[in-house]
Amino acid sequence: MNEKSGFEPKIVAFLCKWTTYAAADLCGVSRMPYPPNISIIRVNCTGEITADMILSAFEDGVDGILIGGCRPGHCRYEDSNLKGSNRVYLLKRALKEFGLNPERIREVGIAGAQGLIFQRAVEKFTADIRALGPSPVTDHA
Amino acid sequence: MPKPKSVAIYAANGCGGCSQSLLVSDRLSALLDAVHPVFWATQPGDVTQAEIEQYDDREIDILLYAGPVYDDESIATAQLLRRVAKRIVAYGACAHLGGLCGLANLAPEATLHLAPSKDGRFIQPLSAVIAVDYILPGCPPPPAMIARMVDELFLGDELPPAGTVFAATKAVCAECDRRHLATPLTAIKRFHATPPDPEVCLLDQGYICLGPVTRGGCAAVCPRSDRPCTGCAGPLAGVHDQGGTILHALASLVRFTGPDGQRREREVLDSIPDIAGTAYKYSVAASALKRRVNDGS
Ligand code: SF4
Ligand code: SF4
Ligand code: FES
Repeated sequence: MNEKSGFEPKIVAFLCKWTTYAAADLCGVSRMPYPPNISIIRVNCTGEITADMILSAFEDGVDGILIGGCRPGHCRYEDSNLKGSNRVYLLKRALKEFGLNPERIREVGIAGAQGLIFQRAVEKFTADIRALGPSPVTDHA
Repeated sequence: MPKPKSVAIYAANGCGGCSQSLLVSDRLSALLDAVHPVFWATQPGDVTQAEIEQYDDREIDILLYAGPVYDDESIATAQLLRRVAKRIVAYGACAHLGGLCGLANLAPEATLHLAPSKDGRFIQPLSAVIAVDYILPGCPPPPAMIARMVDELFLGDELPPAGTVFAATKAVCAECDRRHLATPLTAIKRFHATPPDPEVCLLDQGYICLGPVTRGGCAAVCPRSDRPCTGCAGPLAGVHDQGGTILHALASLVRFTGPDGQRREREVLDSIPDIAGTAYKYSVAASALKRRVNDGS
């Protein structure tokens, strides 16, 4: 088993293009560094993230999934972010029955101007996943 | 390949339902008229590995394999069968997806009565251990799908293309004529506690029906009999994780308006009983995660 100290988490971030993705972009143009552990996938809205997207990422060996959208009430598509959040909420119940720690998925809502908040959110999530250790899902498709 | 001349049935690891489904099929006599039956193993020991080894490579034209693979011995048997058979059909939900047996993959190991395979994978679909040519879904396969398999595989002029699934490409819902409601879902119901309205979509009434994520071809027999579809035919083409996808749909359907809408929605989601057993009834072993993991939590 991997020593937790030498372990570099692999994190996939699904980010809404209107807000959290813009915050990530702002980090980039402002040269605010954040851990290189995350691979960002831009989505139109967190409401378009499917169970297959999340589960396939775990199947492929990611250690954590960050979902970044608009704050409640700020979604460009009515309340799609809340719908997306309900889906994640229910999926986490199923993950628990599979023994996977639901803390491996984190949802954040960060406005486009909040580069600093994005930087800290990635730092925090990376540290928390590092502490959890590698994903126990090892049977990759 | 010319028309098949021989068939063998290996259903030794199954519950018996798959053998039964073929026995009661109205195509059984047509099948046995068309091809020579080599063996029909219904329980462990009916055909031993030593006996299978007696056959030449690819001597058996079509092998129907029912039941899951679960330990080193069943994997070795599947590999032997692969060697002696030209074409293999994963017959029924266990061979296709791990089936009901796959629920054991979620149980703590200490509670299992069988030793898992060396690699610790336990219940697996047949395709996880050998190449499978065709799939006949269902628990057990419904009569219409069995008829289609017999007609296309044994009675046609040409073999169907490799990878054929003897089921529909559309979802069970496409074969179900229950009408839809325009009202959102506000409570989860269980059919043994509250009888469903016979005309209205079960999902719209709050019964967890896997019709939208499940391959059709069964003529929607369950919803036509006032029972929700439990997903035995496996995921619709394009759906990877059948259980996760029905949970996605369910979470989308529950809706309350007003300031505490989301809190009430989550209360309804919390009330869904036996979430993995319901959403992944036949598909745990074929799901993205495949089995219980130990995440130290
Ligand atoms: S969800 Fe079930 S009851 Fe509703 S249309 Fe689909 S198969 Fe029929
Ligand atoms: S309705 Fe669903 S559970 Fe029933 S036979 Fe068809 S696929 Fe299987
Ligand atoms: S548009 Fe940003 S979460 Fe919906």
